[in-house]
Amino acid sequence: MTALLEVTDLRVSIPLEDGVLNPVRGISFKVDKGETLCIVGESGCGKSLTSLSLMRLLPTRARTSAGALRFAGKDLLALSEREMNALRGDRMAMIFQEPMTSLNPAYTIGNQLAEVYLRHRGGTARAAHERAIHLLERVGVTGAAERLRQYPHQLSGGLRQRVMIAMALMCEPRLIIADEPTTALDVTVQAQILRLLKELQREMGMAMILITHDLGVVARVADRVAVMYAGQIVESGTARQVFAEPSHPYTRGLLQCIPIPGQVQPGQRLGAIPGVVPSLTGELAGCAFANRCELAQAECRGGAIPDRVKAPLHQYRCRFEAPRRAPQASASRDSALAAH
Amino acid sequence: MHSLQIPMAPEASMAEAQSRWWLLLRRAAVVLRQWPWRRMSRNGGFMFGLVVLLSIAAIAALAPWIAPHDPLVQDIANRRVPPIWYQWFSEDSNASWAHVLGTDKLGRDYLSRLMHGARISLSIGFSAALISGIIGTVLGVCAGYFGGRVDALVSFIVTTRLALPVVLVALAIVALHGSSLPVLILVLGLLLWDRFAVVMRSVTRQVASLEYVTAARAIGCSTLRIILTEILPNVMNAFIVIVTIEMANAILFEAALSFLGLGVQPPSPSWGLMLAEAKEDIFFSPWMITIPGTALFVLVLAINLFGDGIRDLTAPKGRS
Repeated sequence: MTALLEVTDLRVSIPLEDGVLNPVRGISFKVDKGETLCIVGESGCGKSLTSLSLMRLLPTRARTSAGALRFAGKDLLALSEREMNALRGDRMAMIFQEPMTSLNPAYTIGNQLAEVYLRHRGGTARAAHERAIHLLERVGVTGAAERLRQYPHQLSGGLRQRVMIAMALMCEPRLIIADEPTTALDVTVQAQILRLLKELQREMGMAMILITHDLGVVARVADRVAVMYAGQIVESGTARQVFAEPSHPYTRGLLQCIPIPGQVQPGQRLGAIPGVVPSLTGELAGCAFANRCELAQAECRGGAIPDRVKAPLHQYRCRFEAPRRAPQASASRDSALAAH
Repeated sequence: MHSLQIPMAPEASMAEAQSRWWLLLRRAAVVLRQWPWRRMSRNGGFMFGLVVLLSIAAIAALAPWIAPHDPLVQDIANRRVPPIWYQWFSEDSNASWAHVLGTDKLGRDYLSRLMHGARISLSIGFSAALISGIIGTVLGVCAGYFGGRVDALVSFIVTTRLALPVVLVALAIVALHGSSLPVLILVLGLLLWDRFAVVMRSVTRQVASLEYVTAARAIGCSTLRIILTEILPNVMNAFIVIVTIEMANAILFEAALSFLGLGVQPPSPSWGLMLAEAKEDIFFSPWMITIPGTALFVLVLAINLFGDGIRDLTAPKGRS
């Protein structure tokens, strides 16, 4: 059984006036049917552009190349724009970060929901309407029939994000890409939306790629995790592996930045990673993280950095072998994070 | 492997075609339904513009039936009859109810000419604004949506067009081709689109960068569909405002060309032509130049106030 989505050596480059911006530098990952992959990383490390490039939604001047970009057995980079349009919204759907602007203010919710369905499945407006009501109810919007007649400005952010989720689900996609779906929402609403996404995913057997910078979110929903830094995947593995034995210094740094209830005492300093993400213009030599890494040595700053395999599925890209942790402490950290 | 073909029952095709039309109709009805009727009636300038514009349009449409005289028939016995108010304020016995606004130097009824002139002004203004609106919108939306080379090309065309002086080019073409209403409309329509292109380009860029346009692509909408259903409805308010500006502009250009003798040809009753014919009589029969001048002023003012009102009413912030 091949994976639903298989990405090998994906690269995105955007020619600018002062050099070429390389926001995605050769990343590879797989997503199986029904699986959740979380791509984590700080702002500007290429997460969103990765998700957009999977749907081929990048601006025209951006160049995408990949060793392989296969979705359900199709080579996405070889499809015509027309074939791609048939796929988007039907077999693969996307949820955006900003629910306030991702619905067109000129049309009612019902109209926009029905459009997806009619575009891909045809059928009558009535059938599309019923499907919309059904899905709105499923994503927890009360008074669905009433809501369909409303315009986006009449809905709150949380409701709009639910509508966006319903829209993404209209045609039962096999892959759903959620680009920071909860960043713009209140914390309480965030939890509801995440739970809902996870539930729906299980129910419909969809694969999901969740882009986020919030490790709390990752701990809650991820089957697999890919940690991105400066356009590269620096560590990947199952959620358990990455949380139990974070091996790349960057992942370890990220994990130290989160307060964990019960372990972090009041007044205790949280971890911080000094410095900023390096500029994504031009080529990088050596390890991208070297100038912020406390373990960095001279040999980190040049040459190719090897991908080390720690366990099956668990890889990290570092010059040095990661020290093993006491398994007890990390296991409790993992469970504390998941409960958080 | 899962097939990507979408199963579709053959009998669904009729209903499907209907439902697509239904969706488009619903989308068209949207503009009307979100119209802020209540706020509209509170906007004084807008209401003034609307009422004056509608009255002038009604007069123009009904001119052949409501005009008291034939605008072309000369009555040499009653030349330069002053308007009715000369009877009240100057006790000029020549003024009479037969010619409420008086007659011109050939004895043609001024009110009738004014009414028929409104037809010409409005039809030129509206048609020229529409033609230039279509040209400018197509160029501007393409430039704004596609960007890059298309944008550079359109910007070049706009700059080239801006280098041409409208009146001189219009004069030249009209002088070469002879003047008639269709020629005037075409010339003005082909010359006044620059503002549309510039404004639509910037508004489109703004809208195209919003997430719902990316979202529309993410659900599989084609480029044409995105432009028609996502971009156009959201740039329409700017379009309407520019239409009013260009309509007023076209009306003034027509008057100017007619005044110079290269627009509407006598004996057609254009307001600009009436001004031109009255200029020799400015000292002895001042009403002849004041009346069409005032009419032109009121019409252009009404159109501008109407456009301003629309801009205020469709400003996005107060939409809820």
